[in-house]
Amino acid sequence: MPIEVTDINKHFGKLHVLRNCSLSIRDGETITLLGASGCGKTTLLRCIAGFETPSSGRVVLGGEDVTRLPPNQRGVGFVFQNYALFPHMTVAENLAYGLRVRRADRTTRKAKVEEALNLVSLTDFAERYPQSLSGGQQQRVAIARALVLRPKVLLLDEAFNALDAKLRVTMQIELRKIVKQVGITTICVTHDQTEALTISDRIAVMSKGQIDQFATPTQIYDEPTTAYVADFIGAANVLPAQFAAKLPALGAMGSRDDRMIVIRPENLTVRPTNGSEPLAGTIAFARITGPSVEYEIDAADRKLRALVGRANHTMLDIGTAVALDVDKAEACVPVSGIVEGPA
Amino acid sequence: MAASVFDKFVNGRGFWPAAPAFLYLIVFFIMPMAVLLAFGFVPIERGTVQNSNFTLEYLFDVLTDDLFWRVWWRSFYVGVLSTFFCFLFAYPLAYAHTLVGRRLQAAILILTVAPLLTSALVRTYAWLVILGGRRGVINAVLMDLGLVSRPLRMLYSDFAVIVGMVQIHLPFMILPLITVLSSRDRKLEQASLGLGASRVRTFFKVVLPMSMPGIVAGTTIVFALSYTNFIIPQLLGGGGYTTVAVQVYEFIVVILDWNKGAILALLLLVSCFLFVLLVTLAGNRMMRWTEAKAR
Repeated sequence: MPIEVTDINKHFGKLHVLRNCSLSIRDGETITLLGASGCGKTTLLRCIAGFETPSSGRVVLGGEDVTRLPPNQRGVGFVFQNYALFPHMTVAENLAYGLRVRRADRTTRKAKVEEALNLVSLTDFAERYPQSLSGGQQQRVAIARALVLRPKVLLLDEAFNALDAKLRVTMQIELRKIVKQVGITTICVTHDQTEALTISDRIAVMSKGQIDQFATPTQIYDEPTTAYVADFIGAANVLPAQFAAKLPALGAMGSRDDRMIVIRPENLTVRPTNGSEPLAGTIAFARITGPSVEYEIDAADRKLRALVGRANHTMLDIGTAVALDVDKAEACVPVSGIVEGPA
Repeated sequence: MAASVFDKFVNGRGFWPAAPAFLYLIVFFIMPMAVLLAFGFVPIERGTVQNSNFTLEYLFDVLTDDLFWRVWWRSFYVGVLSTFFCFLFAYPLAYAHTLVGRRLQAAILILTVAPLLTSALVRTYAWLVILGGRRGVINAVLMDLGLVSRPLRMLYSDFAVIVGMVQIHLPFMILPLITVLSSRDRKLEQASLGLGASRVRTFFKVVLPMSMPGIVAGTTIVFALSYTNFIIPQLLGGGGYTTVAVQVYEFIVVILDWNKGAILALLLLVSCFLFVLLVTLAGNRMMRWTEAKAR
């Protein structure tokens, strides 16, 4: 089911937590609301679910305006951060809860619960209480409880947070398979960029209650539109245009002063020099990350990060004078805004 | 649970901090209690044990007496009805307490606890004034307004006794309910709404069953207090209004028939214990989920 979110604003007293948020999500798409804590991503999700009512703007699910509808009339599946499984019901009873509300008869309930448990590979745990399950199992129960009702939309609020790193990735891949299998429109909220890159068709990066950029993971990484997005996803050198213009490969680009230029560390080239280059610096720190070498370079009062593949490169010592350049002009992406705080 | 408590007790590590209270209870509660109960099985006349011949005669006498069963039945329904009405009034209040702002919460808590700062006896006398005959507060108002021509008979009835019991014991129901309700996870209610349930259904299927520990605690406390209270029935029930607890008092303090008094006390204690056990077991059946091992 396609989702249209139009110009959502939300105030909590004097706090303006959502500012003109708009999203247009296609049927069957999986998107992620990504941002640091306090950026409003959970509030936006709760507005879509109906747990919050926006101060202004509209939420349209599959052509129907649901902005004023309570959550129990939206037909949306929601997975809470800590799963919110009913502790006084077994796994099977948790799954059957929504079916009972819809007055499904006993045989239908049994069949659907069975099917949903099968989907998340938890058939053997039907009669257990949620407290006796591991975090990953509880999460799968929460997803199954939402999916058993065949919602047209699935919303997940930081649903992978409580899992340890290894299990998290497994569950993310698992979730992606499941939602693609049942073809459900899915919105996830997370502050974890890896998670966003793993599970999303498109990512909406949010900061300060606004959506900075809404695009595919590749676009977000290669063509960030704001300095915040570039900095939040992956590592980035965010440089004033005048500074970046000194890079030989860049030519005349960046003549406008007000812009910032983003250069990913892996696009920066490093080579030893005598110091007569337009943009030179000294290596302040060097370490091997495995397949590449990571340098921290002091150049004209700035710290730059470079990631150089080790295939044709001998690691340089700290203190070496180096000349900087980019491997191609497209690697320099002009963005708006500035990065706040330590990059 | 029970096993681990026992282990600690036997190993002695958990025992020593409890020793002073334990000793106190043995000397001033268990021993007098044992002596009193023993009085039910040996002949006593004029406050003196005649001989130590064990006899079930007094127990048999009481149990075969129709009057005893009628009195017991009154104790029982007064206890059950008081508990029921306490629950009926306390639950909405405790639930409301968790929904309102901080100021109102404080107000509810203060109003709940404040009566405990005054003597229950004084409050019971106050009910005499309120419910009393021609000059009682309620009757005076009704007659002044011309709503009734003759004073309503409210005092010295089941009604008066239960009104008194409910008012005196209400805090003991409210407090455990507030405790359990205010510590509940609100996300579960949102989850229920999100799964399509109405607010009413959410209350009965999620909030109520999860407050079971508080319900069991409040119910057992209030029942035990109401079932064994002998002051309220005496004052608000009037002279002819007897419950088992009132009879115990009369046999021991007034008539000085310690044999019968001891037997009645024993029956009161055992039946009260049985009821509490029953409620707890029923509650545990509904709370099997609390035993599931948490990770």
